[in-house]
Amino acid sequence: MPVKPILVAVAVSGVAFYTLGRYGHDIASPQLAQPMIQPAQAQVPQQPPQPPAGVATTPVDTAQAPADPNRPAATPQQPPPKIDETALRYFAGQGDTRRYEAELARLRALYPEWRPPTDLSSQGQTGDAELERMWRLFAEGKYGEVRAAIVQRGSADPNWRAPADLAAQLDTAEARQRLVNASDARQWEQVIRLGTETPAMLTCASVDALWRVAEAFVQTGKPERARDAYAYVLTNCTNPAERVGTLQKALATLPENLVEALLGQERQNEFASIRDEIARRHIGKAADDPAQKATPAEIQRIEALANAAATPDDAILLGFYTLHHEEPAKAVTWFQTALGRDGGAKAAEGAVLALGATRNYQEAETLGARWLEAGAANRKAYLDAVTALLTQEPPPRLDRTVIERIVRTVGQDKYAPGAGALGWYAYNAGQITPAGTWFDTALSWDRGYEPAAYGLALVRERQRDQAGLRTLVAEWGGRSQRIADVLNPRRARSVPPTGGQRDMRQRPLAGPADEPAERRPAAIIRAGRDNPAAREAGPAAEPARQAAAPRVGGDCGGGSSGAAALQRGWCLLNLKRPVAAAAAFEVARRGGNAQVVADAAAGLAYAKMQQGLTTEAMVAASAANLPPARRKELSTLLLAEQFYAQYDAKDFNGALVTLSERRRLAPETTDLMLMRGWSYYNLGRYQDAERIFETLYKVNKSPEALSGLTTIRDVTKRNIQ
Amino acid sequence: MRRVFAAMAVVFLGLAPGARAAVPADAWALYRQKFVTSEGRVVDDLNGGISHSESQGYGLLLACLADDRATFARIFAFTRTELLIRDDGLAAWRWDPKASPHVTDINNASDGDLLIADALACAGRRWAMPAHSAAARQIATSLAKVALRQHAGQTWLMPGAAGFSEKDRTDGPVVNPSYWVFEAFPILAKLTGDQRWMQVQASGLKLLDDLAKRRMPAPEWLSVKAEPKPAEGFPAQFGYNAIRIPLYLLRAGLGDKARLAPFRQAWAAGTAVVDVVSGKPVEPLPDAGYRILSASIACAIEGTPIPAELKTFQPTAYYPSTLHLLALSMLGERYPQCL
Repeated sequence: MPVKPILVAVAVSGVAFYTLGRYGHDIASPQLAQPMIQPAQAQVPQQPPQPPAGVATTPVDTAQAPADPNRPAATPQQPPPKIDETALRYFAGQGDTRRYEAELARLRALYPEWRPPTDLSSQGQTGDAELERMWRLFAEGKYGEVRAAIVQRGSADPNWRAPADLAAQLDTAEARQRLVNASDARQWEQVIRLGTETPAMLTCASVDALWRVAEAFVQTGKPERARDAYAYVLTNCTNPAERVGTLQKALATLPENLVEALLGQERQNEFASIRDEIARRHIGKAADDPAQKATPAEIQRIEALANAAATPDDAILLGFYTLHHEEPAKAVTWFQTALGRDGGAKAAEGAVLALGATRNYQEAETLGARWLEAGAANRKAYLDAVTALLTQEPPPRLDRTVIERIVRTVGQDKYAPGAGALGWYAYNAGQITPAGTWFDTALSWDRGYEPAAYGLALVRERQRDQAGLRTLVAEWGGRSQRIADVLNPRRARSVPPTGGQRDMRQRPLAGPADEPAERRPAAIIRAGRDNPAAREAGPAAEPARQAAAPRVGGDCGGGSSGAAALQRGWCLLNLKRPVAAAAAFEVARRGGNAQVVADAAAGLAYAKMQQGLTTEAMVAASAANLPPARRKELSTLLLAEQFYAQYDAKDFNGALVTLSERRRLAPETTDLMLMRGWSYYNLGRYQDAERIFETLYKVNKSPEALSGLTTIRDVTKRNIQ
Repeated sequence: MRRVFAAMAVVFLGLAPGARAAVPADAWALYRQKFVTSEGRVVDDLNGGISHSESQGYGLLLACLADDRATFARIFAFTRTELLIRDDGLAAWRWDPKASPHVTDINNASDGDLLIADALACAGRRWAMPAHSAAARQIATSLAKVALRQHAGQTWLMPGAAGFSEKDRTDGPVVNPSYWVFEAFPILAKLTGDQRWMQVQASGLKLLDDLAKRRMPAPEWLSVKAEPKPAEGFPAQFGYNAIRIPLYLLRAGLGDKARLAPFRQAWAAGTAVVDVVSGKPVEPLPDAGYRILSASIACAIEGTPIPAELKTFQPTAYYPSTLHLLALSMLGERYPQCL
C-alpha cells in the first residue's frame, strides 16, 4: 500500500493560518511555495501552486479514488516529471533504512508512475560534497545547521538554490518537531494548524504525528475529525504495531460508537486485543453498576482469557461482575482463582465480599483477617463480614481469638455497625449488660446510628431502667417508630414475633449508616427479648472482656472479695460512675488472685481514663501485671488519650511524639492521622501536614482531609512571581 | 505625501538598520562562539544554561545587526521549532535543556515576543525576506491581541498574556518598564498598521518622564493602577531588568537628557542595582557590559569619551555580554564619535 500524504481535515474552516508555519520561501525554488498537498494534486509538480485547503476534507486514500473528476489524469502524452532522487540516494548510501523507506514511500506517493532506481550505490552521487554534508546534517536531525548551511551557500553563490527535495524535507521535519513540541505543551490549536499547513508530514512514515493531530482534535471537541485521522492510518498504513496502537489511542479517547466504525477496518483479526479491552471495559462498568450488563459474548471472551491466563486481573474483573450480578458463588471461585495467582489486596477484598454474600461469614472473617493491613477497602470488607457474622441467629460459637480480633478491628476503626453487631451478639446470648455497653460504644462513635439506639432501648427495658429508657425514647422516638414502640409494650406485643423480626430487619434500611449490617440476611432476634434464656456462659462474655466494658450483668452488687469487687468495678464503670468504679477496682487489686489483680489494674486504668485522668490511668496500667496483648491494647488507648490532652494544651510537638509512640504499638487510625495533620499544621509544618491530608483524602475522600488541604492552601497561597 | 516624507526622513537619519553591519564582526564572532549553540540555541549561562524567548530574541537581533544570515537562520530554526508553539502564535518563554519536555513554562513574555518580532522585521528588511516580515507581523498582531491593554486612557504593554491584570492582582495592572523595547514600536506600527504600538511607546515615555520628575529611576515592576508605584511583592529596585531602559531609549533615539537624568544619578557612583526609594546602591554591577550602559549615557549627553577598555568586547556572561553588543551597535550607529 503506497504511503500518501494526508490532507488533514480541519473542522473549522475559519482557522487562522500562521505564516510562521512555512519559512524559507525566499531561498527555495518557486514550486516549493506549494506545500506538499494531496498527491492527486502534486502529481505534476509544474502545476501552479494551490493553497492548502481550509475546508473540511476527510483523509482519503487517493489511490483508491480514481473517479475524482478534478484529478488531472497522468496521460502518457505528458513528459515524465523529473524526479529528484538525491535524498533517496543519500539515505541508501548511508544505510539509513528508516529514512530511505520514508523517502521511497514519499516519492511513490507523489509519482505513482515512478520506479525506484536499481543502481542506488553506483550512480547518482551528486558529486557535491557540500550538499552531501547538508543531507548528512539533515539525517542527524540537525535542522538548524542545515538552515545555516543553505543560507551560507546561497549568500556565497547567489545562483545556488537548495534542492527542492531538501527544502521540502526540511520543512516537513521541522514542522513535525514543532508539532511534537506543541502537542507536548498541550497547544492543540497550534497542533491542528501545523498539521493543516504541512500535510506532508502526516504520512505513514510518522504515524505519531497523525496520532498527535488526532488527539488535538479530541481535545478541541472534534472527535469525528480524530476518527478520520485514525481511519486514515487504518486505510493506508501497514505497520501492525502502529495499527493496533491506533485503535488503542482511539479506544482511549473516542466515544465507543466511533471506535466501532474503526474496528470495521480490521485485517485478519489484528484487533483481538482491542476487542478484549472493550469487553473488559463493559464488564468493568457493569461490575461497578449492577444496573448495567455485559453481553454473554463479552463474558465468554474474558472468561476464556481468565481461564487461560496465569495473571489475576481478568479473574478479579469477573469476580466483581458476578458478585454484583447475583452470582456470588461464581464470584467466590473467581476471587479464589485470583488469590491463587497472587491477586493481592483487591482479590482478597473481593473474596471476603463474595464469601459474605454466600453467607460463609466465618470463612470471610478468617480470610479477611489476613488482609487487614492491606488497605481501607479490605478493612471495610472485613468489618462488613464480621458484622453479618455476629448478627446471625442463632449466634455462632466463635473462638476467643476470632472474637478478640473482631473487637480489636472494630475498635481501631471505631466502626459503629461493628460495635452494634457485638451488642446484638451479646444480647442474643442473653448478656444484657455487655450488650448495653457495646450499643453505647456504637452510639459514641456514631450518634445517629439507630440500630444501636434501638438495641440500647431493649437493653434498658430488660434492665427495667425506665428512666434510661424514657430518655432514649425522648431522643429517638420521633425518628424511630420501633424505639418509640419499646415504651409501648401492648402495641409491640400485638405484633406477631415473625413480623417483629422482619420489622427489625427492614426498618433500619432507611438509614444509610447501618447499611453494612442490614444488608446481611442475618439479623438480631427480637425473640430473645421474650425468651430470656440465660446463656451467661455463652460467647458474648468474650467481647465484653476485650472491650473497655463491664463483664457482669445485673446490679453492681456487694461483697468484699476481690472477685466481687472486680465485678462491681466493671459494673460501676459501665454505669459511668468512674470514681466509684476506681474505688472498687482498688479493692479488687488488693484482695484477689493474680488474674483478678491484673484485671483490676486494667479496670482502674479504664476508670481513670473515664475521669479524664490520663496520667493516673497510665500509672495504673503500668503498675499492673497485664498480659502483653492486653497491655498493648491499653497502652494504645492511653497514648491516644494522652495525645488529645497534649493537643488540647497546644503542646503539638509533645503530641506528635506521643503519636509516634502509639504508632509503634498499633496502626494509626484515620482520625488520629487527621489530628497528626493538624498538629503539623499548628507547628507551621505545612508540607508535612499537606502530605498527611493528601494521603487521607486519597484513601477515603474525607471532607475533613479536604478542609485541611484547603486551609493549608489558603495559608500558604503566595503572590504570583 | 507625508508618508513619503517620513520614509525619506527615516533613510536620511539613518534610522533603518542600514546596509552596513552595526555589530562588529569580531565581537559578534566571540559572542556567537560563547553563547549560540550549533542548533541555534542562545544560552543564558548564569541561569542554569536555560534559554528563553528573550535570549533567542536578542540572538536574532544581534545576528541581524551583525549581518550574519547563517546564524540568524540557525537561531530562528530553533526559536520557531521549540518556542513558537503556543496556540496564539507567541513564544513560550522558558526552555530548559535538562527538562523533558524542554518547555517548562508555556507562558509568554512580552519583551521576548517584541524582540523576536523586531529581529524578524530587521531580517525581512535587511535581506529582503518577506517571509520574515510576515512572521514579524504575525507575532505583532498576536501580541497586540493579548498584551495591549487600555487602562485609564492609556495603552499599556502587559508583561505577558496572563497574570498581571486588574483581575489577577489587587494592584493590577502591573507593568515592567524594561519590557518597552522602544526601537520596536515604530517598526511594528508600520508593519501592522496598528497605531496602538505608538500609543504604547507614548505611555512608556510618559511613565519614564513622570518618574524622572520624581527623580526616581524606574523600578522593575510598577503598579499603574493609579499613580505609578512599585508593585507589591517585588523589590522596589532599579535592577537587572530595568538597567536596559536607558539602552533601549538610546537605541531608539529617545534618550533626552531629562529622561535619562535619574539613571545617571542612580549610577553616579558606578553601575549598580539601586533601591529606588533611598537611591542607595544595593549590589554593584562591575561587568563591562553594565558599565558601558552608564558610559553610553554620559557620552550621548555630554560627549564624555567612552573608556577604551569598554570599546573592545570580551564575552563574560550572557546577559551583560548581550547588553554590551547592543550598546556598541547603538554607539556605532548613532554616536560614532563616542567610539
